[in-house]
Amino acid sequence: MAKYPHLFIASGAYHQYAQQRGATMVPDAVLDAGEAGCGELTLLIFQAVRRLAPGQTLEVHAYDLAAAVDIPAWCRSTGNMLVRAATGAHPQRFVIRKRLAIGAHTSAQAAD
Amino acid sequence: MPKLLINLTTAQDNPDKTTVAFVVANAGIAAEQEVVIFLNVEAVRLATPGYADAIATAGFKPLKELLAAFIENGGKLWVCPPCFTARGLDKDNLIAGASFAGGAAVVELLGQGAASLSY
Repeated sequence: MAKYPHLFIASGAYHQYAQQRGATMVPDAVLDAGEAGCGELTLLIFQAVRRLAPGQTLEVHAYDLAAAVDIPAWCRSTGNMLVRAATGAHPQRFVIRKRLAIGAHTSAQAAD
Repeated sequence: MPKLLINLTTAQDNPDKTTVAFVVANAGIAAEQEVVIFLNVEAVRLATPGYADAIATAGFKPLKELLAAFIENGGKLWVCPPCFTARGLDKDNLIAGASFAGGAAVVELLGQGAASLSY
């Protein structure tokens, strides 16, 4: 677990490397939110998503006890799509797809 | 169904405010509203077994009874995780009706039109 939150933005070369190694779902960025929780967690997600282009994906690693409640709530509130939620993992892992345009509210969730 | 969010920051440090928050919450339950009490700051201690038993204030039922009535009638307690962890409390030992939820869940509820009161 990162002591401080860390954001990794994947490059095109990274995507190519990951796909060559058989990865089926390569996020455009990975946010290790560390111990951030409550409003701090979703602010980090907001800031990370803001750096992405519409349609790109962010994978979030979170240790917060309410991440499984707060991250879906944030997605519903903002219209970003939660495409994956592994809440039994440690850390919990979520994949969020940035909304296509402001006002284009969509939501879908596949939990595993 | 109308929604009511009560933001509570006190516990044994202020029995009056803590008790009245639950009295008003139960009024919301009686009015057939969806009621959530967001426990944060010192109030997170109320989500641990037995803690509320020591809280009582003149003119009202003991908090233990108010809390039991709230939960038995469908009230929800949302517990702020950072406030809870910062106090070294046991995350695996919450009372019935309590669960972890943070700022995003609170903001979503308010966005859905919930009225709110703060104690």
